[in-house]
Amino acid sequence: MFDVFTNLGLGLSVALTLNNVALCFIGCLIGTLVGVLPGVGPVATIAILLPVTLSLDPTGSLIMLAGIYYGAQYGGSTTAILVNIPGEATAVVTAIDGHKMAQKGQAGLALGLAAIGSFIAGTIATIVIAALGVPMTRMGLLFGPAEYFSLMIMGLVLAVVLARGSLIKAIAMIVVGILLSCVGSDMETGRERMTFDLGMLHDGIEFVVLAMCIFGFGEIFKNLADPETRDVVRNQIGRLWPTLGELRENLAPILRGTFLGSILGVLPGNGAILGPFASYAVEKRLSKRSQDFGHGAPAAVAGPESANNAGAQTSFIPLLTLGLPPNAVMALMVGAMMIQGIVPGPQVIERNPELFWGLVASMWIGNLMLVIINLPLIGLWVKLLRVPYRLLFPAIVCFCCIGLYSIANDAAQVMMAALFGFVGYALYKLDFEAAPLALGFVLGRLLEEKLRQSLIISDGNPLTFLQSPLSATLLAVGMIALIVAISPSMRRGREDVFKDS
Amino acid sequence: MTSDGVGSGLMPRILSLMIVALGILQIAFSFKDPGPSTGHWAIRETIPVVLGVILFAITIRGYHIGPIAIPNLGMAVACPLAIIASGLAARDSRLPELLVFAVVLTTFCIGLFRYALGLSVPVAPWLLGY
Repeated sequence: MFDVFTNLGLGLSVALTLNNVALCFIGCLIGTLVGVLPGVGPVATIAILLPVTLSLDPTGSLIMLAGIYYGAQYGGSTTAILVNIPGEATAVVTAIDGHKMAQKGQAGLALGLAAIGSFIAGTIATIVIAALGVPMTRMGLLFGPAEYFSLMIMGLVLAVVLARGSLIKAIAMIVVGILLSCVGSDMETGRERMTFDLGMLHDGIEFVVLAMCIFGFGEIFKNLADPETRDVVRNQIGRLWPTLGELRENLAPILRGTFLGSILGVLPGNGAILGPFASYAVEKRLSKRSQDFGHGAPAAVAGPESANNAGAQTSFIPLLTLGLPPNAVMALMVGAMMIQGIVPGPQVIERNPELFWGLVASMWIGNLMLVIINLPLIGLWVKLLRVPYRLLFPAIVCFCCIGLYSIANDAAQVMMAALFGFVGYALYKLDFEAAPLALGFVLGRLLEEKLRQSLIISDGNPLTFLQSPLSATLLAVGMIALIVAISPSMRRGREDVFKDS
Repeated sequence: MTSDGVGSGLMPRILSLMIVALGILQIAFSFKDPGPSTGHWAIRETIPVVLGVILFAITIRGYHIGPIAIPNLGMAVACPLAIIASGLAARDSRLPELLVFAVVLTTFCIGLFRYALGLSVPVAPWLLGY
């Protein structure tokens, strides 16, 4: 326990240098700025802003990216409350009661509770990360290639189970994602695979390119095709700070939300998405006035928002300790770390302790900053929400182009993105979710590497994955999850979880 | 499994077979439950955006397509082209407004990416030399 605080102390000493505080601040600010824009979710925000961090040192750039991430998350909630356009799945729950509160003239209270809830959740989640970081890393070091492979398979299966809609489509997207990651020269033999002799495919497909197309351009096509009716709240924003009584009433939902979100966030395969839904369901059941839910109940904003933020933060744990990104945002973080020359995994905490703990500490500082910058700036965000989409999306296109170009100073990447954008739109139209594709893509290379390593060790015997008890257990868990998901009663339940809200 | 079992081709082959199998399953299920219509495909809206991106790609640092050689034009030209071309995709686009916006945004981008962030994106090689 004492270690946790020594480590956090080291982290704070890194994160509190003037430079890093400034980066964290700028990250939060521009993250919110872009995240507030309707129709731009956290993934798109990070993809658009990634180039901004390219010229920084690794620690600084990760701190800034983390800031951008929290900013985007919080900006997304602001949009959900004020305009009823959730930027991503986790803000859907906030939009229900948050927007109803805004229509009643309590937008300020909803935003205030969301900010305070997020801050409390962030503080607790930071301590959870610090406490779990070292033991998880030790566990990660015990993993051989076979265990790593099975863990990733389990994570991918869970991602399928947690995705919305058709199971077949979700599995197909993951497989396509893994296949896309194989493009380029083979890392062991150097043989070219699926490059069609195109120079731009020789080094493989850059994840940022893929992400920007599917999430950036795909999103634009989607919005242009179905222009949303934006219903920016015209009412007074109202006071931002809750009274002591309101705070006391909402403290329990905040803490329960934090608890649920923290646990679900650690699950491989984007458990974080379940946090807000679970919190909403729990609060509705526990509340004495459950009939208010859906009509602007403060607890229905405070709880899910805390769960959202806690999950957003604890989903860093599998990434930082095992090198396995559990969702698309973390997948982008891997991309950013790779560009900076850091290979995520259990060795990071050993080799770059200042980076690891600096990042963890900066999460807390970032959450604090969000409260400080967002509440006074709310008027600015409301103005930004009124920017018409016809000007918004050309700006996004322009930023994406510059970003794509500056990743490798290569115009071919921009070209590739235009084509992938089309594909992204088609996938959306045909109801294929993009998140499993991104996850499969990011885990693909590692998956193949571990598969081949374990097959070489076992002399080509595929039973090696069942001979190690740990690996067999992990595969069994994945198998059970898949069977449960396929079973008819569970399938209906799965739809209900997402439909209920 | 042959000695080639862990070679370059193993993973792509397994994955391709899986995709084929999933595709057949998906087609089979679609007969049982055709699902909702995919609705309106916004081709008129997507083409200007893709065109804008392609214009950016071929002008930012020049491009050779057969006999046509596009010089190295930099952000000063590539950004407005991308903004105006893609901006026309909106049903309610207004050209004068878009032109002004393109100039403002391009200036902002040059200031931010080249000068504030120091990224080596060409600005206007035909005018400034970088």
